[in-house]
Amino acid sequence: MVHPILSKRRRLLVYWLIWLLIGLGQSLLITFSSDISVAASFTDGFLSALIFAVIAVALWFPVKQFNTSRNSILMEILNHLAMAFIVLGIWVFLTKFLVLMFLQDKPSYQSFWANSIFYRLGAGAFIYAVVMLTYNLMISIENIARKNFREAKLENMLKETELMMLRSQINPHFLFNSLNSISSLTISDAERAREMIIKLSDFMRYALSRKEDRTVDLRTELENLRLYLDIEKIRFGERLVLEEDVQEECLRVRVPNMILQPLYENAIKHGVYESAEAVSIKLIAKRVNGAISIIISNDFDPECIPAGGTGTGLNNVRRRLELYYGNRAWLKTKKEESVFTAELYIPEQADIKL
Amino acid sequence: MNAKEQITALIIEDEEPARSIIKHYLDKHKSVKLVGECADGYCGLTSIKELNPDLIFLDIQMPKLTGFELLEVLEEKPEIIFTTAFDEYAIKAFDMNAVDYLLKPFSENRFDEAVEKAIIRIRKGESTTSKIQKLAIERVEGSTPLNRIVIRKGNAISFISVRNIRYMEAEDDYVMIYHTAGKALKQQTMKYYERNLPSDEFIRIHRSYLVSIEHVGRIEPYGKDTHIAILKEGERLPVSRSGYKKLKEKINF
Repeated sequence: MVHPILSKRRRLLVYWLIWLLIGLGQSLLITFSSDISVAASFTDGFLSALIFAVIAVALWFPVKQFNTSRNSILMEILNHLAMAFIVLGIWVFLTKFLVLMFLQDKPSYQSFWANSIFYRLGAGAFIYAVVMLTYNLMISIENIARKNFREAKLENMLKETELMMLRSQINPHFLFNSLNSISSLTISDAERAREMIIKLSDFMRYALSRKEDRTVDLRTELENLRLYLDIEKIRFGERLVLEEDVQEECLRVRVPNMILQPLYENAIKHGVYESAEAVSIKLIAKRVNGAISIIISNDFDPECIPAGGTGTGLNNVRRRLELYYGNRAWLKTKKEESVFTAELYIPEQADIKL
Repeated sequence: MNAKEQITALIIEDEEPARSIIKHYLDKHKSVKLVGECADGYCGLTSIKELNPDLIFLDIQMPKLTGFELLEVLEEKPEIIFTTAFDEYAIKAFDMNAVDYLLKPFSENRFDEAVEKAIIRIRKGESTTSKIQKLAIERVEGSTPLNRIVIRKGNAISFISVRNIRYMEAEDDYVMIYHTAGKALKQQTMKYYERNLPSDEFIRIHRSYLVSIEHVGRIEPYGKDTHIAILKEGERLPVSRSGYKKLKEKINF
C-alpha cells in the first residue's frame, strides 16, 4: 500500500491546508489566552503545526507496520502508547527549541512553554489520536476495496469454470455405446460406419469446443443436435422416433451451445432406455413476445419407476441458464400421464453477462 | 456335460448393433449355439427360464429390468459374461467378485478369450451361482442410492418404489419390506438396505428395523432408556438408544 498522502498531489495540498488552519487556530488561541507577544504566539502556533505535520506524514510507516503484523491486543496498546510517548516528546521539545531560535524575548516564552506544557501534551495527544484514526480508517477502506475486488474476480473465475464444466458433460455411456455401434457397423456396413464416425467426430468437436463465443444461433445448435440424434438413431433404431417443428424466424436467435442436448439425453434416458417400445421425441420451437420457447416432449411409461438417475442433466441446464441470463430465462418440466415435457424459455435480445 | 454337446447361449442386450456384433463374433465358436436374443430384462428372465441356456451375455443398462436386477431375481445362475459401456461401480463389482466382463467396444480377441474361459468352466461343471449371487446382492460403496426394489413372485416381476417404503423388518436371512401397498419378502440384509437406501430418508432405528422418516408419526418413551416409534399407520416399532440418537439428529421433536 502506497502512502495515502504523499502519493497524491491533491491530497497533499488538502493536508497542508488543514495544518495551516490548525496552525492559525493555535496561534490565535495562544494570542488570546496568554500574555506573550503576538509574534511569539504565531511563531509557536505555526511552527508546532509544521512539526506535527511532518511527524504525522512519517507516522504512516509504523501504522502500516502495526497493521500488517499480527499482534495481540496488549502488544498493540503498548506499541501505540510507546509511539505516542515518543512522538509527543519530540514534538514539544522540538517546538520549544525551534521557537527559541527565532525569538528575542526568550525568558518569557520559556516560562509560557513551561506553563502550557499540559495543554500542549493534551492537544498533541488529541491530534495524534485523530491522525491514527484517519490512517487506520484509510487502511480499512483500502482492505475492504481490495477484498471486494478479489472476491469479484474470484466469482467471475468460478462462474467461468462452472460454465465450462457444466457444458462439456458428455455422457461417457453415450460415447462408448456409440463406439460399440460403430464397431458393429464396420462388419455389416462399412460405409455407414464411416459416416457415423464422422458424425460422432463433428458432434464431439462441437461439444468440446472452447470458443470464446459461448452462444450460437439456434440453427447451428440444431444442426449439431441432429448429429447427436443421428448417432442415437443408429443405436436405438426403430425405438427412437423424432419429430421437429421449428419456426423459421427462431433459427437466428442465439442460445448457449449444447443447451438442447442434455434435454434430449434426458428424454432418451427416461423414454427410450426404460421402454422396449418405440418412443417419440418431439421438438417445437416458436417465438413468444421477445423470447423463444423450445418445447421438447417425450413419451414415457408412467408405470415404470426409474432405476436411478440423479437429475444432473436438467439441473446443469438450469444452472447454465441462470449464469447466462439471471432470471430472464428458465426451464420448466412437467409430467402428464405418459408425456414428459421440458420447456426452455430464452430471451431473444440478451445482454449476456459473460 | 459331454464334450460333443453344444453349449447354448443367450444374448440379453437392448441395442441392436451391440447384439449383432456379439452374434458375429460368436459365429466362429462352433461349440456354442445361440438359442435366443432379448432386448430387455423381462424377456431375458422368461427366456432364461424357457431355454435354460448355459451361457448368457448380459448388458447392465437395459429397459424395464437392469442386468443387476435380473441377477437378483434369478434362482439358477448360468455362466454370465457381462457387457457394459461405462459404469465404474459395475466394473468395480465385477473386479471384486472376479467375474468376467467385456467393455464396449471390445475386440474379437478379448471376446474369444472370455468365451473360451466360460466354455471351460461350463464343461467342468463349475457353478458360478454363489459368485454371481454375491455380485447381485452387494452394491459397491459409492453407488447411487436405490430408487426401486425388484420383487419376484413366481414368474411375476414387480417393483417397489423406494418412496413407497414405510419400514423394513429383519427376519433371519430375509428382510420384510412394508410399503404403501402391502408387504414383500426379500432375501437381503438390513445392512445392505441401510447402506443403499437414501440416507436422508431412512434411519436404522433398531437392529431389526429400518424406517422411512416420512412415515414416522411420533416418538414416545418406553420404559427406562428406550423409546418406541409410532408410525402414521399405527405400527409401534422399538427404537434402540443409538437409533434414538440418529432420529433426534434428523427430525426435531
